[in-house]
Amino acid sequence: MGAIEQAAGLVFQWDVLVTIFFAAVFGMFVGAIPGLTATMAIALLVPVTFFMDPIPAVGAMVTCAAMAIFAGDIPGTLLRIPGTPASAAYTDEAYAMTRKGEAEKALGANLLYSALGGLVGTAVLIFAAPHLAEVALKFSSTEYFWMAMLGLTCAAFISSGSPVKGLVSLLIGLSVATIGLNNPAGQPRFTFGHTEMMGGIDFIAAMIGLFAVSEILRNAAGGARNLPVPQVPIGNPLRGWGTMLRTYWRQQIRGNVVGVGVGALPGAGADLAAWIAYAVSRRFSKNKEKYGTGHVEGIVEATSANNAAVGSAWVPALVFGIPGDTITAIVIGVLFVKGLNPGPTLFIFNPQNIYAIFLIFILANLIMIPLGYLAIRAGRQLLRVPRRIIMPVILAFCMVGAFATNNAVFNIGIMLAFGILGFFMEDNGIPVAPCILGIVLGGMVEQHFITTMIRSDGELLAFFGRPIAAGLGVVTLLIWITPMIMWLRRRGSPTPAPQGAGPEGA
Amino acid sequence: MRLNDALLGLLLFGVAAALYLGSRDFRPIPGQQIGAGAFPTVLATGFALCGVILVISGLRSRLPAIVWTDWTREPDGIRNVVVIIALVIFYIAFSRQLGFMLTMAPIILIMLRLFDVGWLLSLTIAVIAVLGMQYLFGRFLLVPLPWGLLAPIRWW
Repeated sequence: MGAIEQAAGLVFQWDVLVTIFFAAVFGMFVGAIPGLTATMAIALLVPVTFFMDPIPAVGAMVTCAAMAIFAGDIPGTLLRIPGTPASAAYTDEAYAMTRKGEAEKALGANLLYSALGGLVGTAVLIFAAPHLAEVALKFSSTEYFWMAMLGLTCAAFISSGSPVKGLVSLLIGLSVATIGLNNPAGQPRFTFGHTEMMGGIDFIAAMIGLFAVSEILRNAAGGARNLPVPQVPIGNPLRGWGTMLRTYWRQQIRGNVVGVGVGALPGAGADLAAWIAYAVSRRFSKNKEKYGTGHVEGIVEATSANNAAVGSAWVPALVFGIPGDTITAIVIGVLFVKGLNPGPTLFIFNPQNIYAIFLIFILANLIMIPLGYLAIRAGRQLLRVPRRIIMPVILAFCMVGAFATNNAVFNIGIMLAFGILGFFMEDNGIPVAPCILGIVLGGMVEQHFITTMIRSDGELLAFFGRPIAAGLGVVTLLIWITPMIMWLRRRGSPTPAPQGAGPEGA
Repeated sequence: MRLNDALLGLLLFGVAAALYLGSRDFRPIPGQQIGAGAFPTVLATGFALCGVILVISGLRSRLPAIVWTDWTREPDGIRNVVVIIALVIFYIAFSRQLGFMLTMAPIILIMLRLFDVGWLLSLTIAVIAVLGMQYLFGRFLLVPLPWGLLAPIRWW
């Protein structure tokens, strides 16, 4: 068990702990400001982590993500504006509680079950990941190809309202990944003679553009007005924890299970987990009629799910290098930069690093309770932070961050291009998340695709030649075919199919 | 600005054609049938298929060609977006000559003014933010932010 002691030695150093603390405060702050998402918090953190050692760098991102997902509940509850997409599922419910004067109960439930959910997700990560890593060792390029395809498919088809638009977003990401020399044939592609593009599109600059700059543009387009500050008193959020724990333990466990399951799927993350958990909770509740009127039950289950998903999303990320959501997609990019290439070998050659990451997960969820308590008490002041002043400073940070990835002004151009692209995509109901997964996984998909094709002399059946590969392949193809079948069935029925925007068009 | 699905589909046809034409000349890996062109061709096919679906659904929906989304009707929505894009381009063009601080300070100042923050406050924030970032990133995190015109008075 030398590795665990080594891991503790890596984590319990003052610089690591201070980094984690500041990342937690930063995540809490960004998550609590409406319009700034958890992914944006991570994107802004990346340039800073370049200059850290691997463990504090990853620790900062883990902590920041956990805090930001929780803090997103604060503006959701007080203003009905979800701070992050992961809290959108139960925003209406929480706001209804605020109007009934129960804001502190809703926020207290969010805090408690976020921390507990995070710990459950971490436990699953700790126990499942090493075992899966052993399985992953037997994988060949075919299995990796299908794993990556499954992740991309989930991201495109399940996580977005309109499958076609999800697919378009994914194709954009995959196309971006083809730019540069980094392909099996080693040929420069789509570089237009620019030497800067030989190495490919810098993924961090692209991501800062897609997630941060596009949000700044959106805020600016809306005039970056300040929000009305709610005039509700916020009492002690710790009150009622005992009763809730006793009353809603079933909901908590079910939420954790749903969250862990959804999070562990490659390509699906905390947002989806919260929606499913809320729906499940309502379906099985004895008090269905109370849902939507400010009833804490659904909040308990959904918030248990989204934070559990944050932890378990790391399982496919660490074991296969396939991100479960946008946050892990970014972290995978950083892991590569730090030389901690995700994959089963990480568990064999550097187990102390893995254990250190696990330890940080536990720390992050423990530190969440005191920090979250303070954030709830200061909730109204946090909402009063003027967005008009924050936005320009964030844009400046984005530009410096994009520049810092490889000290080239060219990357600021990339950031801007992707910022405009992201803004345009959102306006047209095209989700952004599949695009970023496409950029991260594009190289991997192509490499395993070409390798398998070459090994089999162009025989497509080789993709189903091994049992695990065949299983993964069939599941992936089923997900592809389902929307078509549903479309055909809709055509067959006499009632006209609903047209126009999907649910994401809000 | 929300394009009708049919227009969006046409746009995707364009992307598909560009991808296909751009990858036609890639040579295969020596001794193999496939190479650098295979994957982009698959992607081009995907774009074209999505294009077909979107054109069909767009034509059936009978929505206008372009729906002007909420922000375009905001009093300053379009102005704000255009100015911010221009400011980033300004930084790309001039940061090397003028230096980080002399380019970024006006950018922050103009953006704050765009959002109707008062002159004095805007000026204060711009100066403090720029000095702080030059110190944090330039000195502490060792990002080589250009000094430009201020190089003669560089204080570290």
